[in-house]
Amino acid sequence: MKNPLNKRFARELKSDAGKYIAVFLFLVLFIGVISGFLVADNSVSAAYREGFDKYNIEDGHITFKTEPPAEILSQIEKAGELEFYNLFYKNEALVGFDADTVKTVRVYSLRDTVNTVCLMEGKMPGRADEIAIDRLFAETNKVNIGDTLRFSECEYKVSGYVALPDYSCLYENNSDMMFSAVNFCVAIVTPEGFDNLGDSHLFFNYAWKYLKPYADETEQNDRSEALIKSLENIIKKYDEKLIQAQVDKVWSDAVSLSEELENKFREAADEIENKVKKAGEDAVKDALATFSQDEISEMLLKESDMTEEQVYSAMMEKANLTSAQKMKLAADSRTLSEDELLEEAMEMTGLTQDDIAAMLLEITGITEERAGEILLGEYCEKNNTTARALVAAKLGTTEKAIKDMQTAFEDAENLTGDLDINSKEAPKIDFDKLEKDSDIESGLDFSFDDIYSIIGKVDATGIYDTAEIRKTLGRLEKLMDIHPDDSDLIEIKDYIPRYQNMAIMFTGNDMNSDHATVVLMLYIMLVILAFVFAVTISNTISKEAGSIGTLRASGYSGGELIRHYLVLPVTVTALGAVAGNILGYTVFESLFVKIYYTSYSLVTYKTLMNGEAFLLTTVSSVALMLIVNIFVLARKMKVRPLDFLRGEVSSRKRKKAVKISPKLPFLQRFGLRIFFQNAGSYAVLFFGILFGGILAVFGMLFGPMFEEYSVLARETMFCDYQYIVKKDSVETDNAQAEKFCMTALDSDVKGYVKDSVSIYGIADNSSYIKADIPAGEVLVSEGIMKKFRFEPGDKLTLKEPYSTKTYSFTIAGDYPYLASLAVFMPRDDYLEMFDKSGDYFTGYFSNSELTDIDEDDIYTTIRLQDATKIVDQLSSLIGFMDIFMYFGVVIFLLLMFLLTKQIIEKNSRSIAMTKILGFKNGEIAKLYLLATSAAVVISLLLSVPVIHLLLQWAFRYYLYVKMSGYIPYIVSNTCYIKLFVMGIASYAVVAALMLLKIRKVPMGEALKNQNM
Amino acid sequence: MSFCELKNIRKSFGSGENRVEVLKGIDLNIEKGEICVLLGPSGSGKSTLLNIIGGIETADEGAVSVNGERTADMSEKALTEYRRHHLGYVFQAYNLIPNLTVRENIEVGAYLSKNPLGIDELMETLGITDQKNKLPNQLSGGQQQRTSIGRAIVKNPDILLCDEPTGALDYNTSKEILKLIEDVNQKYGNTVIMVTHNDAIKNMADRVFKLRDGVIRKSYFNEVKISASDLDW
Repeated sequence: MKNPLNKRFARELKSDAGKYIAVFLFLVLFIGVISGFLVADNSVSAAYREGFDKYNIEDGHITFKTEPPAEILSQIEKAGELEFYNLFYKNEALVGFDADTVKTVRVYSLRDTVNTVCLMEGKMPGRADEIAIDRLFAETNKVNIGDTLRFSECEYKVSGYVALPDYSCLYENNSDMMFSAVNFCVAIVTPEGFDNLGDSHLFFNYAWKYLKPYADETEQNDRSEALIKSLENIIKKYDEKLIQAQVDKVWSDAVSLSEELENKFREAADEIENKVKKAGEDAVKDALATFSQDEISEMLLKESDMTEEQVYSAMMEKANLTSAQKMKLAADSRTLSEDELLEEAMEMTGLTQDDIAAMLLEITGITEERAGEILLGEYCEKNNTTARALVAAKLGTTEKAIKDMQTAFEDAENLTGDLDINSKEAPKIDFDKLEKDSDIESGLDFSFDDIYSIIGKVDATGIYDTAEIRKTLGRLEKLMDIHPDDSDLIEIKDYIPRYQNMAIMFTGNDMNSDHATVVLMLYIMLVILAFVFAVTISNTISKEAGSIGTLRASGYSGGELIRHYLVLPVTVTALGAVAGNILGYTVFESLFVKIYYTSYSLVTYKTLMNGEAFLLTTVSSVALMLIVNIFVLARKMKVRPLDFLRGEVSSRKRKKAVKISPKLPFLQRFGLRIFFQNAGSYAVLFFGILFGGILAVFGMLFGPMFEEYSVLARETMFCDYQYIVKKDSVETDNAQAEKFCMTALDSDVKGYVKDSVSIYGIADNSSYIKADIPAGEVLVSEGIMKKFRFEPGDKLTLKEPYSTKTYSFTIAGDYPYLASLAVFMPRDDYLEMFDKSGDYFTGYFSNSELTDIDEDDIYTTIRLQDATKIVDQLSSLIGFMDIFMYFGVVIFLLLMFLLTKQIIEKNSRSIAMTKILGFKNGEIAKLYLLATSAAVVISLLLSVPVIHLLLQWAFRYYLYVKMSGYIPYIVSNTCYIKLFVMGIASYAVVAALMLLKIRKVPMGEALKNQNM
Repeated sequence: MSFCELKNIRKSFGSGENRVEVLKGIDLNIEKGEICVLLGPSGSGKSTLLNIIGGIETADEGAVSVNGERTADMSEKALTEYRRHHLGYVFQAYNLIPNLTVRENIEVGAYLSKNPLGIDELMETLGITDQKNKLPNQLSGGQQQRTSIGRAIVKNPDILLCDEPTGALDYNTSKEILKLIEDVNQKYGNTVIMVTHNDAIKNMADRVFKLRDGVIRKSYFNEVKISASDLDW
C-alpha cells in the first residue's frame, strides 16, 4: 500500500502554490543561470584550453628594438633549449576612424607555425590589400567585412574576422591595468601586405617554443628565469662587442690625428725654439757692441783661470808671426805696452777682432755660448735688466709671457709620454658603465684642457700662430668625445613567458575565477534557500504538531515523517534544478557565451555536455537541500510524540517568555513578540538580504567607482604635462618646466601579478611634488601602499624589467597620487641608485605646454587626460554587471515573500482571532508586519557595513592580487542608498501581497480544532 | 497474567520545589477485549497513565506490560513498532490531517498495518461513508471524531486508547461516538482503554478505575454494563 500521506503532496502544492511557484521559478531561473554559465564556461574554457595545442600557442616571446643577428638568436635558442619563430608586427594607428581616441592595430603577417589563426567569419587575407581583424574589435567598433581600414601608409579591405590565440584578451601591453577591444586590435595581412606598411613601427618579435615541454608551472618559471639570465649575458656580450668596435675605430682615427698633431707640435716647438734662439743671439750681439775689446777680454779672463801674461803669450804664439814680424815687435816692445804690441801683431797677421775673440775663447777654453752669457750677464747687470727681457723685447713680447711659455714647455715635456696615443691600447668598454662613461676621453691619461692651456700660453707670447694646432686638436677632441651609436645595440623591448602573458592567460584565469565565484554563489544561495525551506518546514511542523503527535503515537516513525516532509522541498528543488538545467543549456548558455565573446577574443567553441554543471546545480542542490532539511527535521522529530500532541514542538527546553516592559505601547510589544517568535526567520532574512545586497551592490558599484576614480586621478595629477625626452641635452626656456628623472621597474611582491612601477627622481624643493622626502627613503603612491598593504618603514623591492637585478626602497610614507603606481625619491638618491651622472634627467614636469622642444626629441607626453584613459577602457566592460543587481532584487523579493508569508501563516489562527475581536485588517497588518518591516529595515541597515567590509576584503585580497594597477575601493553612497530603496521597494511589494493574504484569513480559522 | 498489566507506576513532573507527583504507584490489570474506563477529574493523572500505556510517556517507576511485553525494556524504535502494531489512538482534538480526505485519513492508519480492516466497511460501520471524500474542515466534530476512530481502528490494534474522545462533542454526538467505540470493541474485539471525566461513561465499561491525585481510589468490574446508547448524563 502506498503511503496515504503521499496524497497530501499535490494538495500541499496547491494550497501553498505561491510559495512553491516562487521557489520553483527562482530555482529555475537561478539554476538556469548557473547551469548556463557553467556549461558556457566549460565549453568556452575547453575550447580555450584545447587552443593551446590546436593553435600551437607560444611558450613566450621576446621583442627586440632592432633585428638581432642570426647567431645571437641561435645562441639564445641553444641556451634556452627552444626554437624561435619570427612573429614581427607593426603597431599602426587607424586613420579617419575616431577623432577622439587613437585606435592601434597590431598587424602581423600570416602565421602558419605558432599562434596560428582561428578564422571566425569571412576569409583570410589572400591579397596584399586585404586584412583580417580581431572579431571582438570589429564588433565593438562596428567594422564590417568589406569595410576599408586606413593607416598612414596604406589601406586594407577587411576580408574576415579572426581570433588570435595569443590575444584571447586584448592587452596592448602586458602591464596595462585592463585590456581593451575599444582601442586595440590585432590583425593579419599577407606578407606583401605586411611589407607595404613600411618599417617605421616595426617590432622584431620572436615567439618561442621549448624543445622539451615543461612539466609544470614551477619548471616553466625556472626555465624562464634561466632564459632571462642567458639572454642578459648573450646580449651584453654582443652589445659590448659592438660598442668596442666603435671605440676601436675611433681610437684608430685618433692615432692618425695624434700623429698629425705631434708633427704640428714638433714644428711649432722648433720654430719657437729658433725664434727664441735668434732673439737671444741678437741680444748678445747688442750687448757685445756696447763693450770694448779690452772689456770683453777682461770679462773672459775673469771667467778663465789664466793670467794676462799667459793669455798674451798664447795669443802671440797663436798669431803665427814670421821672424821679421817678431823682430819688429821686439823692437817696438820698448815703447809699446803689451796690448799695443798684441794689436800690432794682429795687424801684421791680418787677424780681425772676431779672430782675436775666437782665439781668446780657444785659449781660455770658454765656449762661445758661455761667453755670450757672460757678456749678456754683464750687459744686463750694467743696464739693470734680464736676458729674458732682452729676448722678449727682441721677440716683441713680454718677459712674463716668455716665462710662462717656458714653464708650459717644461710641463709639456712630461706630457709627451701620455700624449703618445699610438703606444696605448683603446680603452676596454664595460657595457654596464657605458652610459655613465660615454666619453672615451676620460679613459685617457691626459686631458684636453692641459693641452689647451699650453697652447694658450704660446698664444700669449704672440710669437706663433697656433690656429692649425687648435684645429687639429679640436678634431681629435671631437673624435674622442664619442657617444656610442646605440641604434644597432640589441635591446629587449618586451620579454614575456606565456604564464605571465596577460593576453594569453588572463582569459583562462578569469574563467576559472568566474567559475569559482559562480559556484560559491550557487552554494550560498542554496544554503539560504535550504534554510528558507527549513524555516517553512519548522513552521509546518508547528502547525501540524497535533497530527504529527497522533501519527507518532499511532506508530509512525520519526524517519517516515522526516521523509514525508522532505519530499516536497526536495522534489521542487530537483524539478527546479532539472528545468533550470534545461533552460541553462537552451537559453542561458548562449547568453553567457555571448558575454564571454563580448569580453574576450575567443576561438570557436562547441557546446559540451557538462557533467560538473549537472552535479553542481542538480545533484549538489538536492543533496544540500536534503542535508539541511534532514538536519532541521531530525532535530524537530526528536520531540516526543506527547509534546507534539501538546503543541510543544521545540526540541529545546521551553524558555520563559522574554520580559517586555508593559510601558511600551501595545503595538510595539506585539511587534516584539512577533519578532522573538520569528527570530530564526529573521536571521535567515538577514543573510538573504546580505547576499542579495552583495550581488546588488557589486552590480552597481563599478560605474560610480570609475567616475570617482576618474576625478581623483585627475585631481592628484601633480602636473598637466609630463614630457619624457629622448636625451638629456634637450632644454627648454619655459620657466614652469622642472627636470625630473624617471624609470620603470616591475613589482616583485609575492602572490600578486606583476605591476609596472614608475620611479621618479624629484628635484629639491620641487614645485610639483610638494613633499619632504627623507634622504635614503621614498614616498610611494597611494596605490602601492594600499594594494600591497605596506606600512611606513617597510621595504619595497622592485625588479628591473627583463633582468634579475632588483632594487630595494624604504617606504617613508605615501603620496597622494592615483594615476599610476609610482615611487618618489630625491633626485640625488635616484642618480646614485641608478648610477647616473649629475646632470642626467629624463624629462620635464610642467603645467603649460612646452612649445620650444622639438617633437622629435620627445619620447612621450603624459597629459592630464591620460590619467583617466584606463577608466574609459574599464567602463566599456561593465555593461553586463546589471545582471547582478537584478539578481539581488529577485533574492530580496523571494526571501521577503517566503519568510513573511510563513510568519503570516504561522499566526493565521491568531489573525483570525484578532478579527473576531474586532481588529481591522489594517490594524492586523500593522500588528503582524511591523516586526517584519523592522527586520527588513534593520537587515538592510546592518547589511550596508557588512557588505562594505566584505567587498573591501574581496578587493584587497582578491581583485588587487589578480589584476595589475590600482583602483581605490570607493563605493559611492548612492549604491547603498539604491540598495536600501530597492530593499524597501521589494518589501513594499511583498507587504502588499501579505496584506491581501491577511484579509483572506477567515475568522472561522480561530474556531477550528487545531489540526494539521 | 492479564493482557495489560501496570505495576507500581509512578510519575512526577518538574523538579525541586516544583515537583509534582502525578502518579503515585498505580497497579492495574486489564484483560483482553475489555472496555476499560479511567475515570477522574482534571489533574488526577488519568491522561498521563494512558500515555504511559501508549508508550508516549515513560514512567519514573513501575512497569507496563502488554501481552507479556514490557514497554520499559523497549528502545524508542521498539516503542514505535509497539505503537504501530498494537495501539490505536483517539484524541479529544481529533488531530486529523487537514489536507487529506476522510478516507485518506483512515488510510493513514491502514498504512501502518500488515492486515488492516476493510476501509469501506469500516467507514460504513463508522457511518462516514458519505463523507469519505470530504476534508476535515468540511466535517462536524462528531464526523471528525468518527474519522479519528476509523484511523485508529483501521489497523485493527490490540488496544484502542481514547483520551476524552467525547470531550469536545455535544451530548448526542458523544453518545454516538461512545456507541461506535462499543460497537468496534464488540465487532473487532479490541481492548479499549478510555480516559474520561464523565462519570456516566463508566457504566459502559467492563472495568473501571477511579483516579484522584494520582492514586486509584476505586476499581471494579462491571458485572452489568449498560449499552452506550442507553447512557445518560
